[in-house]
Amino acid sequence: MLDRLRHYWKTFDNGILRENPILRLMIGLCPTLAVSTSLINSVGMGLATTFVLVFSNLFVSLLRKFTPNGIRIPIFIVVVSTFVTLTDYMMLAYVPELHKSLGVFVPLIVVNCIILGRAEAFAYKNDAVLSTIDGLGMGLGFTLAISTIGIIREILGNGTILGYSLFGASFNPAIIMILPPGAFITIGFLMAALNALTRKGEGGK
Amino acid sequence: MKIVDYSLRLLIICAVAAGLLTYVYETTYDRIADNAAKAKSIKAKAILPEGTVTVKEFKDGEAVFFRGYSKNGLSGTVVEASSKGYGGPISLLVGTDKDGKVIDIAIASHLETPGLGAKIEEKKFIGQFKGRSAAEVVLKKDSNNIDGIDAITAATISSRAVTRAVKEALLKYNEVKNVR
Repeated sequence: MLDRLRHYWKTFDNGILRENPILRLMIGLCPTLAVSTSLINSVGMGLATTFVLVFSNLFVSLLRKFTPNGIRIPIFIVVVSTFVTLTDYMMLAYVPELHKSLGVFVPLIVVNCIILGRAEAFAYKNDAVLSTIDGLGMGLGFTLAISTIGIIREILGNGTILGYSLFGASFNPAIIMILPPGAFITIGFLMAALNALTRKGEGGK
Repeated sequence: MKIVDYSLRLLIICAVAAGLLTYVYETTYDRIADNAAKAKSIKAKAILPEGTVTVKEFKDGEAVFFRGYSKNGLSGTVVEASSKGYGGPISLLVGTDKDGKVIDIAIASHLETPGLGAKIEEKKFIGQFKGRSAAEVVLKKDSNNIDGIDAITAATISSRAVTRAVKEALLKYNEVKNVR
């Protein structure tokens, strides 16, 4: 029982540091570049992605016995895009307020390769419970990484945090930070920092 | 026969997906249309002067517009317009008084770059349009008019698109103002 819980926990925290989607696996960079210009956008994108990731992992895992190896990719794509479209309609109809803030991210999620990557690398090979946990962990890792990038880019590129001005009117923000190159620069530094931190933990290997 | 097995399985998955999508589309269609109309009339009310009690929708051919009424009668007209921005269409609502001058503006939807073009939604930019007539809606950098509108730094295309749409809305108002 304890072993089982430990296994669940390991699956969960795998996505946060060891295999962080943005900073370690380097997948899902396209929406990251586009959206991480402010903290609030980053959090919205992160939460919407986590939601889709959890359910796509769950469905792909449930259908894995039915899915032959040769046509797994088309089946993943049909499953994921159907689920995303259904979510979009449901949000529009029943929680239009939520759709207003998260709706713009939905079409971006469909093309996010984290979703397909986890379906292929994890959910296709593991049971429904583990796959759901993996989706949660990966989603949370994505949210944390994109939010960190969002904080840095919003402060340096716009001089604000969550829309509140930090430095007063005389501050001249570095516009490059809210353009795509700023995202690459930020991601590069964050990756270097993460590598330096974790290498120390492994005994300087 | 692998190919038959594969085809059948794909067929089943796609049929279930299509069925689900159709069902949910049908059951949510009315609610979604209803929500959109409600959201628009709330937005229209928000850019009309204080004291506006009711907002009515009007149609003139293709054009849709709203009239707001206060205790003292017509308080303003809201006209929709859209133009092509940097990331896609920008659609906005312009509230006008009876002389065709801007009362206030609300951006209904846009796909501009967050942090740059998306600043068209901020009061600092949008507030500049207040009180202007169609002839006065022009960017400072596109004319010799020193009273023109300041474009957003690094987002000239977005600023220009909004300016164009506002102008279009004001011209449209002149066409619909006598519609009954």
